[in-house]
Amino acid sequence: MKKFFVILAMSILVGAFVMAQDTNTDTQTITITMNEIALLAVTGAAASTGQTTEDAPGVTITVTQPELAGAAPVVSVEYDPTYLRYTSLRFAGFTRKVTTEFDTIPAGFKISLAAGATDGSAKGNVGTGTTLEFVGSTLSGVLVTGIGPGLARTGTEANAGHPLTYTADISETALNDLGNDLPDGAFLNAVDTVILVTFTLVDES
Amino acid sequence: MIFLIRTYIALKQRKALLLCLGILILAVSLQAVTLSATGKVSTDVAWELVSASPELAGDGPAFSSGSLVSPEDATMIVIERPEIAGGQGKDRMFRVMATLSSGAQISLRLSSEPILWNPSNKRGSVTLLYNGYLTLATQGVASDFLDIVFHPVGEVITFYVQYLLDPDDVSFLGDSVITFTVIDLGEI
Repeated sequence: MKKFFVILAMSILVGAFVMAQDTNTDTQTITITMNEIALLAVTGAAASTGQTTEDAPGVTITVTQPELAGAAPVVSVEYDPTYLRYTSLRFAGFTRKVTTEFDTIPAGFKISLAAGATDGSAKGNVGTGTTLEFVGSTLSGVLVTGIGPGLARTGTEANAGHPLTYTADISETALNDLGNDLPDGAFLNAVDTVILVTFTLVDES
Repeated sequence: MIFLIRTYIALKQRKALLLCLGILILAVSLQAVTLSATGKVSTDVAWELVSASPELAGDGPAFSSGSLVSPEDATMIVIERPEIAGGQGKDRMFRVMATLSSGAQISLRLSSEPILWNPSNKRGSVTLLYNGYLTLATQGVASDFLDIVFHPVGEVITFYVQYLLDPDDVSFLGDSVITFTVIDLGEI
């Protein structure tokens, strides 16, 4: 009986001894704490430098008289190359999108905005751009979808980002209402309307 | 208490003592080459990295450390080769492998910190099995890290591992856990 106790006790002790030894394998943990990132800017073609991305140049849409009497008014859109840049980091398979909102559209105008594909500067799962038409009461839309999951960034180099293309058109009959909202006496030779376009990087899924 | 007293009394008997010694000898003879990895931050944690938003849209994440390369001594690895009967007088090769057990892709390399041998006058050799950095991209896949040749009686080697992270490959939140393994490739 005593021998049994001895064998039992020593087996336990030796077992503990063997278990406590190093083996031929060990692990190491690298702790990576990633915070979600949502950063967006609209800028020109130049590379982003410094601490803040330079604002994009403005877009000028002008309706002028045609060369020939009886012809339709001429609509021209002038702007320097403009790019949409962002850095997005979202986890767990979720994605983001870029929404666009015009604060107003002059009566009779239809403005289209297209976001093209990013260039080789982009890293990760950048989104896909589309073309939106803003007219009448339609003042907002989703310009870029499928940003992420994980890291998606357009890059900050020259010409990096989704190139933005503006086009404009007018509805001749709708021009009848142009300037109706102006107070008496304010409508002289021209109607200037300043449109503020807001781009926002928001959660998609 | 009664159990311990009974054990003590039994140990005084010769046969039982021999049996105990036999079990101990068996346990020691089963001991093979061992590896221990000790982190710089703590025993288990080699490196801590915290990301922050960059200043410019389109730029990559910024990191608290200001660098995506860990300290040179992020992980200390000690490999001990016990004396093996019949192995004396001949060199013996061991291979160290690294496996990404979980987490984001990460790269590592042998640090430029000095390699320490014990006994120091019986140095073996170390051969790297990668160029630049060894990248652990796929979880669960063991990658060859380096080979170590122990000269006879060269029993313990200590070296350090440095890590590199590519922010564009980080796609999820979490820790990267790396498993180091050493295997005996036999006499050479």
